[in-house]
Amino acid sequence: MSQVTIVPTLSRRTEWGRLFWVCVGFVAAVAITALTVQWIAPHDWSAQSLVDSGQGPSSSHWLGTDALGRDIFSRLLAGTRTGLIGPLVIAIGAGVLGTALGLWTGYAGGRVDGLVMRSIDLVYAVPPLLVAIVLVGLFGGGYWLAVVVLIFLSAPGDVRVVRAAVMAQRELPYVAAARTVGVSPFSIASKHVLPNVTPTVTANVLLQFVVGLIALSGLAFLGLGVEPGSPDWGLMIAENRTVLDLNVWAVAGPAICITLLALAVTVIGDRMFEVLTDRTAAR
Amino acid sequence: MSDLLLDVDGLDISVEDRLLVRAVGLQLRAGESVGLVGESGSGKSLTARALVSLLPPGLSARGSIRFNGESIDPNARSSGHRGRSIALLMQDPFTMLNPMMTAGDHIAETLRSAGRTEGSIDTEVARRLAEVGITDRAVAHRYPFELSGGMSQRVALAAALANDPALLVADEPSTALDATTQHEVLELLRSIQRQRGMGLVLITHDLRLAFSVCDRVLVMYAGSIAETASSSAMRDAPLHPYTAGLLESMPSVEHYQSDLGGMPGSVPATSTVLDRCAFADRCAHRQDSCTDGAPPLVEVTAGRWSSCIRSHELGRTLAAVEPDDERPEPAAAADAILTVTDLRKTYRAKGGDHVALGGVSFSLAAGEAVGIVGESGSGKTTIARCILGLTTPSAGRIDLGGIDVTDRSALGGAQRRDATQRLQCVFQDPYSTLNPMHTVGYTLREALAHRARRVDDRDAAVASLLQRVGLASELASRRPAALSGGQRQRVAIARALAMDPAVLLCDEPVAALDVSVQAQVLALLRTLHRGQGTSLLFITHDLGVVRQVTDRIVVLYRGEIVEQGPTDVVLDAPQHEYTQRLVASMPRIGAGEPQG
Repeated sequence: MSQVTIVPTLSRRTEWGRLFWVCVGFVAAVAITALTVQWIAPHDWSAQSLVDSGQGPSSSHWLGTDALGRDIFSRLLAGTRTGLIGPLVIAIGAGVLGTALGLWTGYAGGRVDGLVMRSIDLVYAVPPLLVAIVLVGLFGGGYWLAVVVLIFLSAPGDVRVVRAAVMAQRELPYVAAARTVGVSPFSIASKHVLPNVTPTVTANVLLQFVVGLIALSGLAFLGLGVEPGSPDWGLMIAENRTVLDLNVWAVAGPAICITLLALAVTVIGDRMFEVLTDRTAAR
Repeated sequence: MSDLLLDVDGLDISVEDRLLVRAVGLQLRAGESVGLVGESGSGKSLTARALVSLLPPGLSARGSIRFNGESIDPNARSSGHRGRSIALLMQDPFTMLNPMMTAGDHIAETLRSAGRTEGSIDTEVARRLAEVGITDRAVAHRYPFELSGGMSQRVALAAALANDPALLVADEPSTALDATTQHEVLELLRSIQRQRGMGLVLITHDLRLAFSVCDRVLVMYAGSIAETASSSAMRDAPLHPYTAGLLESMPSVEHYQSDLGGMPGSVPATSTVLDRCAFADRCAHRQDSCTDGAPPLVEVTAGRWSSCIRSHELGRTLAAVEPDDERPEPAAAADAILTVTDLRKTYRAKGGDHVALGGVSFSLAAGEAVGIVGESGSGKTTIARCILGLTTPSAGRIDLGGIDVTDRSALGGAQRRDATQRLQCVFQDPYSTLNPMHTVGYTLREALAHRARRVDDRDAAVASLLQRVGLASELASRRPAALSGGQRQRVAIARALAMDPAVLLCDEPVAALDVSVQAQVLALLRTLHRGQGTSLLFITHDLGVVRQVTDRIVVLYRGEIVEQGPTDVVLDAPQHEYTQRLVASMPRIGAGEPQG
């Protein structure tokens, strides 16, 4: 029995595919832009010039200007910062919180599970965006406040998804085998179960990024969240509605940016789930 | 050759450019039954699927399949002959039937597609159910989840037969069933096949079963045919060393074998052995010429074909000898290391309590091997879970060498660790018993870390554990996906041994393994028991396996012990009616002559 036989599989190994790499490239470009925007933006994105207000695309302003004469293209580039960082913090924050709780309740079961899950049902029962609007409005707005509120409102979703994945793993013999050897529940959950639910956790974090992006943009559109005047895609849509007839790009530009980023991250999450599931599959 | 019902010639099945099945030929006359026997990876199921044009996506077949003189395209996506004159019966009766359709609906569906008028369907459904031994008319209105496994398989058979097919292809139709039910379903299949004069292709991994049901048997190995002969001829004198090896590897129900057989290694992938005898690496009779090109299937004597180039000379030596070996004296009576007293477990279920264990008492002496035998629902796995502390019994007492382990959560840390050191377990499914994300080395090191006696050099300890179970130490860096089923089960045994347990509980440790690999693992367990004095508590449904490994058995039926005693005594002269039924239902090599 010294030689290792490779078990022949009928299905081909799942490949990443070209679309995945296109999306990764797009997200990478957005990230690079966010880091380097102060050097690569053609204009100062907050410089106002009332003479140039509400212009259409031209050679000096590629996507035209807004009502205050600010360069739309530069503002779109600068918008990558709030477009990435907030959703990222929400996704990771909710992911860590949700995965930890999901692992705990899913593995422990019983009373712990009942208590946590009923509290989560309670959070679920209220519409998250409404709560966010009320809370952010109550405490006087602010981007980071919105981010923190959204972390707590998104985490229950992660808890549910991770808990379900953990409960499926809990019944497998390798968990019983680890218990029989005397491995502690904490080690079983973190070292045995967690690696096996990574595809779910990864896909879920990316999905939460998208949900966070749209929620933050929505709040900004309503005037909650980012400071007035900052270059944020959601806020730009709200501010530039008045010049829609003069420069359609002032609204279409940020809208397209939000859509493309959301789509790209969704595709990445989808593919990662499929490929990771395929690669962690036992046989 | 116009009297042939089915004529397959030169059938190749490949995925992309990798060959999975090579040059399979199969002839079947009307009313004849043929068994297609092989281990996993032999290509038997793919061959059967090609016959009904149901190959999995991505696979393609070449070669000729003629049914009643008409050519069948195995790659066709449309149903063609399938359903109308060729029917397929699949393995798992629980997933084969649509859970949203009643038993009667399944049969009526096929009847309708055959053009029966609506008015005649009800009586026809009842007649068809009666044919498969279901006389209770209410069954037609039940859903699959309301039926037992055997009942579901009967309904599936009735649905498959509703079109009066000329050929039935049955893919492991009884594997998922309990021994006694398995026996009934096979008897039924055989009698219907004979009554109807229908052709039958039976796919199975169990050579004994094929002998008892089929007229002729084809043995497949690594995608090609190793040997084909009539059942009786092959049983008496196999021509191919692989067939002989399979026969030897099967643990006998009737007597103790001091040598469990078992071929070294495991089945290779077809595409890696195209230019040589696929079996050469595992063969005891190998010569240099065996690897000079693929040996053709040649007719050795009338009606007997073999692809072994040494068939002529080996013929005599391979004949199955049935040694009636003396069982070595069991170790002198020692103190009980595990005592189970009046163990009860009740699960709360809808509509009343479900009693899984209704007061079970037995004991295991140090150095003894005790078998717990029972079918599904007998409570044997519940016993294992209670003893392991994975579930807490409702009542009773479990004593493990002086520690009361009935309720593990009530034990202190030190006692709990003590219990863990004394008792370890090998679980059933080698595919999920190891964490797919961790290497073999990680799994073993983790177990060693929990051993009471400290291990200084864990890597050396891992290597020595692997060596004890017959694996190369390089495997420590591999993940389970790169290992075969037998290798994984050896790793699982090594993990249990890491604790140096006094008692090794084995819950169906070989049920999911191929016959040749099963023999290897059984031999390993026997060595651990005999050589190192580990007590075995061996849970299984397979009487052949208990005969070989245990000294004493406990027969469990519906949560209660119906019989217990020395293994040979209980199996040779069963006293309880249930034990008698169980023993009688085992397919055996000596008995079970096909009745003409």
